[in-house]
Amino acid sequence: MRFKWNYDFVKISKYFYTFSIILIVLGILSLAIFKLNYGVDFRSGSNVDVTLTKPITEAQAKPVIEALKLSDDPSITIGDGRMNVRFEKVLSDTQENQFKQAFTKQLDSGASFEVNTVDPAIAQELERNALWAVLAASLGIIIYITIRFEWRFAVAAVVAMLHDAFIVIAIFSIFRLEVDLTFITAILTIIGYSLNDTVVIFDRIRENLRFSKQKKTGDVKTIVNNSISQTMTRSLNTVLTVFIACVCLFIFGSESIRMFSLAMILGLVFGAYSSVFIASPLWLLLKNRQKPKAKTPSKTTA
Amino acid sequence: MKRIISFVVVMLVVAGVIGATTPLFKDVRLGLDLKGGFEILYQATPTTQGEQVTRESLLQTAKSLEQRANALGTSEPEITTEGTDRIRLKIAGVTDEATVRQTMKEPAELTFRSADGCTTDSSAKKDEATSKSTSSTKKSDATSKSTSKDSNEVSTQSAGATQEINVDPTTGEATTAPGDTYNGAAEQDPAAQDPLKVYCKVELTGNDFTENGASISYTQLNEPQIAIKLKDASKFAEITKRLTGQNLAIFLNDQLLSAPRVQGELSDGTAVITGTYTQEEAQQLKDQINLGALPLKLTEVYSQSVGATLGQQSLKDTLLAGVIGSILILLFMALVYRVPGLIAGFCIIVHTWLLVMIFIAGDFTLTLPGIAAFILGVGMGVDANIITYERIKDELRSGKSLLSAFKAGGRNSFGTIMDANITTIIAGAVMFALGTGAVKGFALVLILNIIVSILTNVFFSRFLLSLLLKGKIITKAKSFGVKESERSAL
Repeated sequence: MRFKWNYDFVKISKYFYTFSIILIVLGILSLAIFKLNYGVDFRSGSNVDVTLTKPITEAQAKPVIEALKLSDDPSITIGDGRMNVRFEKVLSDTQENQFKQAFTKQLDSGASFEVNTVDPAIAQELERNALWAVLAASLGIIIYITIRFEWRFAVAAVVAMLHDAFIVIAIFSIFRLEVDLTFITAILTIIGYSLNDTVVIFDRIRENLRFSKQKKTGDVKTIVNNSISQTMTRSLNTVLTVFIACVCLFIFGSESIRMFSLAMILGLVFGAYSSVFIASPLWLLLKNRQKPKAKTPSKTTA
Repeated sequence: MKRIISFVVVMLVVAGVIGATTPLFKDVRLGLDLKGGFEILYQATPTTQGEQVTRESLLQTAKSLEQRANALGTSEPEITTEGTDRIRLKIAGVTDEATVRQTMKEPAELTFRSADGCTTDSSAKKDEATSKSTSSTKKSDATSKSTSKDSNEVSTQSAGATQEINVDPTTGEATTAPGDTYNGAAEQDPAAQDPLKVYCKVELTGNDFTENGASISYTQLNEPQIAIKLKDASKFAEITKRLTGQNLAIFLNDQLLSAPRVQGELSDGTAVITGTYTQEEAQQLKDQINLGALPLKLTEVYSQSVGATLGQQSLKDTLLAGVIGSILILLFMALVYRVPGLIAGFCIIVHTWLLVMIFIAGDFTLTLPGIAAFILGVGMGVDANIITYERIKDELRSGKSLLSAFKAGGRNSFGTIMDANITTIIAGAVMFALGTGAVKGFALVLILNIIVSILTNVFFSRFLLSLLLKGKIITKAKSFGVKESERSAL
């Protein structure tokens, strides 16, 4: 049989390991120093998104907003047809109304608002719940893969999955991209997707193991390489289709889910990458340590 | 020939059904991020210190909130409890948000207060005058002035088991008649103008009344009066005994509703508030007391409000993104996988249609991240087809005939697809279990997506393809995108 993708994936994976480790270290440093750029979902305060019907400059808006004396130094960001005002303090509903009235009266009568307000306790809780969700999902997945495959596959898959999730978080921290509630959703989807991709390759490795007899130590490595090449077209085509969907969401979709789409795009790319260059070689590493049983691989992988 | 006919019939019927039911799409319930509205997460705390928030009191509070929201005539308010002490309120398409928000919170603090032990030098007379001057204009009834004094003097009646307090409804004379003497009295003593200072002691809270404990009954003269029921008769007896001859003011938040005078000790936990109420006033006070029987105090901890035009814009943008993305994916599939790619495209359309129908049937709310999950679902549904087709291509290259390559490919790819999807379902289930609001919505779509995808993009797609193969419409490996030269003999 011929395959278009005949490379020694296992051999070149060590460069990718180095790349991933550098990225993870950078991510840890960035998280430790700068933390994440939390949106209002995770931080106490009020966030007002205004959709404008006419262009307004910061110089026009600032005096109006400051005159309300709602909070010390609200930060104002102006985008295309939109304006974002963030208050460090939580606005009460009367204050919120004051703001809306002043804005529509003095700046833009056709403006429409999206106001998000969060209490600090809730913000912390959201973050904690998200972490729990990731841990619980990991556990469930480990159990499932251990039952369907074996624990080595489960460990390799979960490592790759956490790798993907962490790298997306790291990139968001390094580039100071805003993290909101949909970001958690994106991370969890990435986890699901990354696994989806890894499982497809693992499934092929398992199948190839079943139909092969291993005599030499390098045989398992060949199987891994072959399995990756056999599934490569599928991996690329699948990533491409989901990628198309995400890029369309990013470009044409609503402003509110822009960061979500970006996280998804990054997650997709890293999900596919880690399945090939992180998960599969890691499984091989674990497998090669299992010397005595290597003679009867059909039993261990059945 | 038979199979060709059934293929055509199936395609036509499915396309017909989709075409005919598409107008139903407008029935999908949209989340407030797509149609505008607001969402508030309340943190519930006990109205009196030292008490606990119980499941029961939380549910009761949620129910009361719902009644209030319905009374305001809002469209389909969604009120759900969350965790042990939270209530989430979602109301879409509200124009006067401020009013609704205020009213929703209002029933939180119904109190019956007395001037017992208050430091202000307010005598009973002043209390009375103040309460009258500051009472709500809503209860204004000029005609009641003459009779209100009389009703104040009516003493406790012992009619069978039921005792009564007959009270002055403290109608809003002050506002209806500016020259009124009561008003004058209040102006002379500005300190007494704040009824909260006058009635400083909280005697009863909304919690002390039985649920829906207030009702309207009629006097012999057919005047409406309000009967109230209390949970703890002995507590009420103690209060009424101590306050005989004094006023027991009813407050909703900081607003004085009424300040009836206690005529005597009431020992059986029921009382009747009489006065010259109009039917409407009596109804309103009854409702306020009932809705006010809110066991918990609510504070807003999270709120999100989305303007209606903003929501519509988001919906439009995201749908556009979805349509563009889907068309690109369909084109990609047709180009790479030829005839089977077209079938995959058809199945993806069926997949999306079925999901929308499930949303309509289940009355699920579609949110912005939900649409995003829909669009991702298109991509992921395609994955099932890609896995199968790649497998069939592999089998074809190994020299198998079309039909046996199709069978082997389908069989071998099924396990992979299931394993891959079940792991994603696990992630989705966790999100659904632990998530709230939008995350939950997203998880639901994701899970439904996968289940529907297995039906449409595995089984249905396979069925259509088998009809084409067995009907000898597809006879060449080229239709799968495999060149004859790539195929090796077995």
